[in-house]
Amino acid sequence: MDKIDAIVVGGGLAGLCAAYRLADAGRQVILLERGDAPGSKNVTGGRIYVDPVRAYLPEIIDSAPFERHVVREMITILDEGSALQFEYGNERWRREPFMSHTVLRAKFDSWLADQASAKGAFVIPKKKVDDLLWEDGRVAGIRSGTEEIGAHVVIAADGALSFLTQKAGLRQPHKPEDLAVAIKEIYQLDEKTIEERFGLGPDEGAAGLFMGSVTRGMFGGGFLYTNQDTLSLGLVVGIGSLIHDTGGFDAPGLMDGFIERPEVQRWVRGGELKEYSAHVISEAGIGAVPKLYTGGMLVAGDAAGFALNLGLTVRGMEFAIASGVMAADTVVEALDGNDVSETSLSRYEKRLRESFVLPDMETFRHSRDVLDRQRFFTVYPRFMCELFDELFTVGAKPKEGLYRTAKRVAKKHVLNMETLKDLLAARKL
Amino acid sequence: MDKVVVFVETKGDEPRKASMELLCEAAKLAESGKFSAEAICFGVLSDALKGRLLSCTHKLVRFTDPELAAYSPEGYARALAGYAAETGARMIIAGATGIGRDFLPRVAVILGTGMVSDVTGANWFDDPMTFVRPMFGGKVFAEVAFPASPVVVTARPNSFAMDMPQGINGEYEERAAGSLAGAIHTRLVRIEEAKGDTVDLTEADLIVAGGRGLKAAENFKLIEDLAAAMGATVGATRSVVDAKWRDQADQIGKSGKTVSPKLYIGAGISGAIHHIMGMDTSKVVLAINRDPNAIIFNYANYGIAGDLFEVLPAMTEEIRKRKERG
Amino acid sequence: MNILVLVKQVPDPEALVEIAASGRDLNIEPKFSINLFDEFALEEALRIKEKHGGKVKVISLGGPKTIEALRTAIAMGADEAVLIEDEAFAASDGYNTALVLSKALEKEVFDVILTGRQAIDADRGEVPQMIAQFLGLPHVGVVVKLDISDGKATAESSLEGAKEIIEVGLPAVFTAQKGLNEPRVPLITGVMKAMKVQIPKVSVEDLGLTRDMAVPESSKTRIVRYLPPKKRPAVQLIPGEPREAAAEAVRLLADVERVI
Repeated sequence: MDKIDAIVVGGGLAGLCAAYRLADAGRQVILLERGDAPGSKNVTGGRIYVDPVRAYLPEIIDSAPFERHVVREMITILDEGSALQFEYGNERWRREPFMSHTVLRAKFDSWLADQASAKGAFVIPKKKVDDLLWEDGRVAGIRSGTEEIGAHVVIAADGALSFLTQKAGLRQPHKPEDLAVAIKEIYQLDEKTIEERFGLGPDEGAAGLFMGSVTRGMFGGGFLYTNQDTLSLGLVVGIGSLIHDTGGFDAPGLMDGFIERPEVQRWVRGGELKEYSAHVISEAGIGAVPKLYTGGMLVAGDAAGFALNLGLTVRGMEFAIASGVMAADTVVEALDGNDVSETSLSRYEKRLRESFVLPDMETFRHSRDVLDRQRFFTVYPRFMCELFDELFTVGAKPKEGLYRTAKRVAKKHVLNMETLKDLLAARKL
Repeated sequence: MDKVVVFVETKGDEPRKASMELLCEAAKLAESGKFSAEAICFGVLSDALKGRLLSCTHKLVRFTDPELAAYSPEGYARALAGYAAETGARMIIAGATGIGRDFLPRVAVILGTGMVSDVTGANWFDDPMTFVRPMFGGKVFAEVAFPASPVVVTARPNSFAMDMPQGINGEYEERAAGSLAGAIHTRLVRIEEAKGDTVDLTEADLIVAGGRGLKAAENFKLIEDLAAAMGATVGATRSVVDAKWRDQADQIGKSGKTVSPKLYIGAGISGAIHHIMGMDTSKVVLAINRDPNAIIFNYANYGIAGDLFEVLPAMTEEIRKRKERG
Repeated sequence: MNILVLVKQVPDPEALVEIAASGRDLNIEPKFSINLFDEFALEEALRIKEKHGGKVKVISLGGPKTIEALRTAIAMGADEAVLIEDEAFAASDGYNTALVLSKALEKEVFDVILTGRQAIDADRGEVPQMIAQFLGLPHVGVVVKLDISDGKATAESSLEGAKEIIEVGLPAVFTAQKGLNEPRVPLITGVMKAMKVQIPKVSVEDLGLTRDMAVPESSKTRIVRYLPPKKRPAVQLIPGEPREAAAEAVRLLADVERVI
């Protein structure tokens, strides 16, 4: 069978970066994306931290059409009918080099696809890959509809539910507990309104996280990011939780409840809903990372389980970009040496270990287990909100001393063995 | 005085509705004193039809050439353009029917002028004349100015009122366009008529349309019964046609037919934009859908958020009862 | 057989179209695709070539982005493509569009010209017939079936309700209607070929025309402004059990709206 150098399956960040890198190295590469355009099926909160990835694709990071650089972080802790908000800002974040940027995937991915095409990659949308082709026990190409295209290496960057990884025998089907669903809405708001409302200068951005009753006791949280003239708002909820604990809430219903909170409305009121999307996130951490390579194939991005859902934040984009580039570099090396065997391609994992990707995944191996304790989303938020409620309330009766108030509320919620257990577990975070 | 020539399309012994509307409109223009109006037609003309037409127009010219007995774009275009040129017509108007839209562009080119198709409104007395026509499937309307002469226009059915003029007794003339030998290169082999003799969707005043909410092809009987009771034409959505429950000819929507009836009833239709584009200019819309949040309610005057399997037969019965009461 | 297909790149059917504040322009979301009806025409051309042999050449009038539509045509299997690049003429009326395309076609050798019955942006349905008239060719419109043999064509034209079976000698112009065929999905190898191919461009001056012929002031017709569709008032939901609601609906339609 005639073979081209590489086929990349999936037009998200991992796939596009891999295709870009391969084309830049002068290799013939096709990228197949099942959506109408790269980015059309991708969702992020979102914000990208550029320091980890700048070294991999400096020319991309430095000229990418990001939205705003984040100068303020907000955490809102919610109970029914009350909320506590913290804000943190840092002068350093206002100056270059910027640490993180909010991003809109449709725009960013489309731009990245153009960059990859400009380097000579064939980025082909509306093509779903149905199966792998095998030759002598190695992956040798793909089948899409009735077409069979041979390739020396296939890079599977087909997202959190990656069927190619399963087809290649590199992983078992996902369990519901391993996945979370993210629902996102984008609201249009005038640039100046955003800047005034959030207290930002031009091109400056804010990032917000919401924890507590917005997920009604389930693992997850809400997020808010400011883009140039839109706000990205959404919720992440564990699918396992939704199935088991649900108590009658559906994900869209949760989302509606979240948006209606006054703590959210204060930011989004007057905005026009422009887009609605949902996506699946792998949240099992390093425990669910599949085998990353086999003869003729590598796995990158969400398909490789490279996502960290820490409840308060989901990191995936940086891993996608870095792993996509490392996959491409491994392929180039393998093709140069005419060896695409499993042994040769195992150098991919070595690269990942020597980068931040696998180490960070390892560091946060237990984070999901720690955070997947209901108390984080029910008891602690309630405690904090009730504490401040009591502290701030001045009623008709004589007021209690502040220390006594605090102790009473703490005793009610958190001065117990459960909290101790949580603290001990939290050491693993 | 500027001369208006109206192309009257006939089907059997009936004039096309769009042609009648334009005859009425042309008669109004003639009354203003600024225009004179004439009508031309082809093919066989019964005495009854002739009489009807002569009460709506001051002059009717019928082309008798045997080559023009059946429709051909080249034949009709040559004859109409030739007449218009010979008589110095200022305006040539026709209904935006299948035939009208097919051959009028050729007329325009023969006369070295432009054209404006499928208009829904006209400002005849403006200088230059302006017309309103839908674009992007009706998402937007354009006001088009026509500085060139003559003005060649096709008008969407149901766009002009059919106010029959009074006291007209037109003059009748028969003519031969002549020099058609060798000018017509298409040959009509045969016509396969559509099943049934209900009014075509594009000309219907009353339409009852069904969508996937009907669940199965045989349930379309509910739609047919209501349509029959009302004297309406049956329409369908794209998904129903794709599922082969109904013929392509019944499809209302962007890639089907565009309709503007007085009353459109849509049952079991969600309101996908490509369907809405085909019926949004309907005067009164009643939507029936089990889901109170169905998008179609945004495009309706009246809505029933209920089970169509009960509502449709109930409506049919109610209408039959009323008819009996007289 | 030499088959010529005329295609137009139009905004995607799902693209947002808004009237600008001035009322004289439209703000259209920049997502484009080949006009739906032209896809049927192109598919038919490819089938004719597969059956009779020959070549399929695709011509389009448009701006620089129109090249994408021509690449899609090549990806589907067209042999050649040409872009007549002129934004003024591309934005002009049916007459000017037909004039330019006719000039380009005059230089071509062809047996069949296929194109869509109308473009889904302008919705005019005039250009193919005007081209036929300019070139002195017969045409059959709104075709749902086309058979070619021995220099002759038999076409089924679908006028409202009825189907007319028409015979015509070639060369002739045919306009494609939905139902003519199911357009094929380009193969990956086709897309790769299309991405690499060089598509020649032609200017209107090359065709003996000048830009200022297309400016609105010199056109036969011109758009002076855009208007939004008439808004319907908010829906009146009829309450009650199905039978009650049905009866009330009939009453409203018969006695209040007087439409039945």
